[in-house]
Amino acid sequence: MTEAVGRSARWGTLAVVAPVAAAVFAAATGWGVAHPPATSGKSSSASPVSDPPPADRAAASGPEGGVRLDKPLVALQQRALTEQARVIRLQRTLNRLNARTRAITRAPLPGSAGAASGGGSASLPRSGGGAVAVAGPPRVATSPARAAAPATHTTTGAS
Amino acid sequence: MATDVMLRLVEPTVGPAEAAEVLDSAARVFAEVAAACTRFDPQSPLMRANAQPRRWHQVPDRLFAALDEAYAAHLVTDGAFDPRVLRRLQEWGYDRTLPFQSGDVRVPGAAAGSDSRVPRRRWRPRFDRETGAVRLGAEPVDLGGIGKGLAVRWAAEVLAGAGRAFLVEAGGDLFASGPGPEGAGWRVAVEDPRGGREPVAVLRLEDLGCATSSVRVRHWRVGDREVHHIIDPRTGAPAASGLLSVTVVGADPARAEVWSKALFLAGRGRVRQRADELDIAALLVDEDGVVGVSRAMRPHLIWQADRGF
Repeated sequence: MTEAVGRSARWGTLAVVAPVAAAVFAAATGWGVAHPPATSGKSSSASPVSDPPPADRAAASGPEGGVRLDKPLVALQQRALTEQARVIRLQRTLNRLNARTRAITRAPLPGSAGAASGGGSASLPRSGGGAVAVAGPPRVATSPARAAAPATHTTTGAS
Repeated sequence: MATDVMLRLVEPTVGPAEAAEVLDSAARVFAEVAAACTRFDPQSPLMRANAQPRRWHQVPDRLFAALDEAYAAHLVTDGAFDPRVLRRLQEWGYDRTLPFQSGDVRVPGAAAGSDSRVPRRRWRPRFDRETGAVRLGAEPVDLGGIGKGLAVRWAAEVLAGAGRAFLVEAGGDLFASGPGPEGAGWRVAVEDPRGGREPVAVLRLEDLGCATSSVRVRHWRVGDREVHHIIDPRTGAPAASGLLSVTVVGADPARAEVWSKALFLAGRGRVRQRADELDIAALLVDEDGVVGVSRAMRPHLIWQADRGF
């Protein structure tokens, strides 16, 4: 099996980050539920998901519409919108962590085994409640940044 | 054989006229193999034999040898390599040369059989070595899975000794002889089967053959279904292996071609294990673009794109 040098050290780094991230996630979840974001424009990473429209949030949080509707139904709608907003925040956080993971895997190996080469990975994001979900191991070679392919004499391929 | 052929002779050990002659002889090998073994000409010796496969047919030497090699490959791969896929290919619409280079090939009206598996009993052709006659058996056969590798091998035999090094390459199947132009081996790029401009890996070969089975080019649409040319004899349908390409390196380019197909059929979950069991140097690219390398391939690998497993 192709095993690039240093893979175990990097996974060890993520293994340290993951429980920390899980603890922060648990602590931030309650805050996140009570404080849905006002805008959706602050993330620096590309996100395919947009915030729910303001009208929906007003309807979810405002009691006025709930006066005329079934209360359990209103509560469920409110909870659905809240969860949706949380999913959006988690997705953004996941995108940022994946970007950091890729940066870590491309970085040169540290001098001593077990050293946390990704200091940035322990600094958790703080937008929208700081909910963090650490993705599973990405299926990419964890090798140092590669030089360009050498010049070749011929190719093998389509057949 | 609808493919470009490259012959390269480095530092000939013979005079210019003789070098030109030996290169011409090597090039003729491809023409001879194509003429004898093509399935796209109904009058080719192979297709005449295929028209009545249960009868004995006297065939040209190239075809006799190709069928003999195909049978040996069938046995050594325990049936994974099975030339009896001609009818399946035709049913799936590959009954003529298709314009694969155009990129969007559609075959209207192809009625791929859902109940048309290759017979599971072992293929048992018969050979009369004294008369040069063959009997194919119950089913017609296609030599597309070994013909190019054989032509490369036979062309390499013609070029052997004519120079310090030489390269024979035909449609991605090749034999690299000697230390190469710079004395450090021949560097061979493994194309990205997803069409990327960069290769997925670079190999260093010396006195070795190399072949790749890939669905990058030979694929087409039948109705709303995307299909390709690597037929799984167990199903009679294009292999759904989770792989895009398998590259094999070995001493013989024909066996490399055979094993590239047999390993392709093994599927993404088993291909590397199978290659390690058989000590075959293999490099694979799966449908997600991830590159895998068998243990025996590592000595040949001098560069790899950053997406392996």
